[in-house]
Amino acid sequence: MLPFDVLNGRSAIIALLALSGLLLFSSIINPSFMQGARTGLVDITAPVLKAINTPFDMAANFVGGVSGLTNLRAENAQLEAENKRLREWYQTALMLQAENQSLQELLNVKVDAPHKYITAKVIADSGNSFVKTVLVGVGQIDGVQKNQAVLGEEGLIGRVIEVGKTSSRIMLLTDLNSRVPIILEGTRQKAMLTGSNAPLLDLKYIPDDSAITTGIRVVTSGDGGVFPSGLPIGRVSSIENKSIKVKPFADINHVSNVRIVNTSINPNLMSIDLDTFKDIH
Amino acid sequence: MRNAFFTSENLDWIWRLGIAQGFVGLMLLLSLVSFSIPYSDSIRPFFVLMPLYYWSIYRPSLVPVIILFALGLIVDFVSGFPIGLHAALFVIVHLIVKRQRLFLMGQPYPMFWMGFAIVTTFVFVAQWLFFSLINLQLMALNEIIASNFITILFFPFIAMIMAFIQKILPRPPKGY
Repeated sequence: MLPFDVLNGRSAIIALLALSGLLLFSSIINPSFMQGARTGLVDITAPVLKAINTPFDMAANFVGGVSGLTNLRAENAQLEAENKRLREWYQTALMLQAENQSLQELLNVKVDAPHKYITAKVIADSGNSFVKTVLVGVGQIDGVQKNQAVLGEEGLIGRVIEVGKTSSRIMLLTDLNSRVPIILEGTRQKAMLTGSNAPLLDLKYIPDDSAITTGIRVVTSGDGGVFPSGLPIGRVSSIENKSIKVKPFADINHVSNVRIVNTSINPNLMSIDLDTFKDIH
Repeated sequence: MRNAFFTSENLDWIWRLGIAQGFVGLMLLLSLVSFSIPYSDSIRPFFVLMPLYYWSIYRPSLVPVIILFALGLIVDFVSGFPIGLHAALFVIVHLIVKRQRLFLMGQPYPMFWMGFAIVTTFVFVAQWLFFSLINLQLMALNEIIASNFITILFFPFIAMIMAFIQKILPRPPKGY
């Protein structure tokens, strides 16, 4: 008899199936069931996943680089035109910044300090169409906390839902359980942005008489205190009957690097060097 | 005194089994890791099912239910699934395949492959039913069909590697 034969018997199988059922039932009732064990195991597997991800990442970069070479000339012309346009915008932005600053000083407005970010690499994803989450290789020791907002290259992609010591799980905006309070830019209309496991996001709780058109920018409202206000999310892409769809700015299906908005750092509190106090005593 | 366990025969037996178990571990990691390819976060082969099916037929002693249960739990923990879903699915798949192993062993390769297609379809349909039930809405089918299709397509390549590993494995005890 082999050592595992004892655990291959009928009673062992029944016991394991019963245990699976019990675990499954518990995690449906309480989604944060065994969260400590989950983050602990993810912390252990994170270095291995990082190592396995590296060659795939390098291959993807290489393929991207090679395919990019073929349209280098067209891309260069496009970037030159874009650079020219951005230089004009830069001048406008400087002028508006100066005007804004002088008006704020005049009105004695307390301005929100700029955000700080924790940059991280995606090391694993759910790999299925039912759960839209990704794992990143930063955790508590890097300053990540639960519920922090996560940005891709061009906009919000989700929020931190589990934090381990060296890894964290991010729930993407496309996940069925994702809910983000938003405001439609240029209007005062607030709403809820929900995921449906599909690439486009749904706008919910919009009054029938609200004047929404396609192309309006959608940003976080900051309501509920989870997300900072004003983070870009996407644009209204279609309005059909009562279904309003939003196309995210970020390519949520292809996220390889993310920025976590570090709300744990209060930029209004300055760090002090304790050595400077030695001379006082 | 020389330790009787560390004989050259036993060490040879251990490294050969280690390769087989290591390959199962590698398939598990490939099922979890990010591929940095567009849409691979939702459409990809379910690699870990391949050694599960293959060894359940040709060498069930390599994949005892307790190991499959643990593999399922790791998938659930790391991929963010409800805990216990894949632990249960892997044990059920093992039970079904093990009951049919003598029949499948005697079949030509296309039938063996079709058996795998049935197993992956069962797993994906079970996942779909589970999530449709807990979310009280029918989940989209297109990505599941695509994942199922590419899992079936990838199987012959992975099966070739496992056939090679099978050749170097030590002879199973009588009755296995």
